[in-house]
Amino acid sequence: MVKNLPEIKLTGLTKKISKNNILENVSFEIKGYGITGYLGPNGAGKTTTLKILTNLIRPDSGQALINGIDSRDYKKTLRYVSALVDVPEPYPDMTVKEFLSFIGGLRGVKKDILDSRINSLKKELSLEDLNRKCGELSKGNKQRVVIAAVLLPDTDIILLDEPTSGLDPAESHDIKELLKKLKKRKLILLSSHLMDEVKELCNYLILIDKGKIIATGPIKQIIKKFGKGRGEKGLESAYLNIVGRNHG
Amino acid sequence: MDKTAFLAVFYSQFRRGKSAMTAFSLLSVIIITLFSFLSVKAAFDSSEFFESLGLIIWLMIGLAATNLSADVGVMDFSGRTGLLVLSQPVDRKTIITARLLACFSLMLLPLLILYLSGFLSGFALYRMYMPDALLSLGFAFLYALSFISFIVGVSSSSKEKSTPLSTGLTFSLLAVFVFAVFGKFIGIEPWFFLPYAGLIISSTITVPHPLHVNPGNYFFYYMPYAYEAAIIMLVYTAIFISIAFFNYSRREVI
Repeated sequence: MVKNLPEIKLTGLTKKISKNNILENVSFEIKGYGITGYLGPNGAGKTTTLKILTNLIRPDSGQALINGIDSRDYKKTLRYVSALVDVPEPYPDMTVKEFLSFIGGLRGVKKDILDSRINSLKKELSLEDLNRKCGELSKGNKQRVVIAAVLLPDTDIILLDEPTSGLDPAESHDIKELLKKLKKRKLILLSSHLMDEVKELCNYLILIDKGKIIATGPIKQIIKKFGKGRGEKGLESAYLNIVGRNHG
Repeated sequence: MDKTAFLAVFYSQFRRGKSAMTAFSLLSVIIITLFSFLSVKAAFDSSEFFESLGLIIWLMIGLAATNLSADVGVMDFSGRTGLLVLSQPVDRKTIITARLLACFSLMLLPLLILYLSGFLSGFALYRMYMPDALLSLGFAFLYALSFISFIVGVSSSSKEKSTPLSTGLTFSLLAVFVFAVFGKFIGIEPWFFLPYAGLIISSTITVPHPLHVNPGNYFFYYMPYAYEAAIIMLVYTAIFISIAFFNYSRREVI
């Protein structure tokens, strides 16, 4: 049986929070495996988009479809999605293992599979003592526990909102290597401010500013069209040109 | 309802409240012991002893229920844990139901200890068996459920845990003054006030059974009938569980 490719489709998504337009008629479509970068200045609407996709907030109008299912039907759509949105934290009174088991329990992961997933994530993410309380962990270690919780269910679609924030360079490197492995068999939507990270990991870019999509396309095409220079510099200048043009 | 998710949430909430439950159980034994000594010292008769025992149980239920369930409806919205927990494919009603029932389960042990130690003390002091103790225990369970539902409902409408916490403590500690104001002073039976219904815990076990209106008493001028108490508790449970379900399901994590 041929497996359907994972898909995210937004159509005319609009959201106001306290009378401010956070998203205005946002539409884009991502299909298949790989990492799509979701870029934009602070307050552009990136996190709000991810929150709508994960049922943390509801759109005022428009549709967010995951594998063809409306995100309002979150019990179905979120089976395909695992997400790190904003800066989540584990319950401080739970140990790392208890918290991961709790998330596994919410997902209905069987005990034997859960134990082996936790052990493999412990190695991949260099998680420290699993019996330590989450509230006693450093910011970086908490972030790794959260990433472990996101990767635990092995879903087709992963949404990541600045996953390396709060991590030191070595920890960021580990996460990026892990994402490079995962991109071959998952659809990942990565929101980030770090141009080198985006350049290194993403195949496709979506740029958002003031709640509107301002550019989309393969990363090379965006650099060629809007950037001057190569590599991260090329992407940075493309980003500045596009956002600057939108502000100007 | 997703059974695995329900159990995951239930056990996590149960673990969280375990130390509070142990503390309340120990506190119950200490309070009943002290109360027994005091009632001997004050030369209480059996009626006064059991009436006061019922009031201690009534007060302890309010305090324990508030302590155990104040964070249930608000914890995932006031902090950052909801960003991960509420983005799982689980019906939010399952989460809040599991938490509410875990809080209720946590109340059972301290309640049983209160009744056992209280009635054992009563038997030791007065050689008296109270035939309606089980009825009172049944009302105590119902009162615990309705108080937890009330606090969870308030919690689901609050921004911080401090709101349901202070509401529950105010309801528990200032209840007798509300009874006094509405009872003796204004002459209105405070049927709208949940702690009023909880007084049935005390009046069911008291001998002789108190009157519905007790003109000589400032604080307990009105006492509820059993059916009236049951209705008030059930109505509170239904209303506040509905509020909790509605708020928890609809609330956004901004």
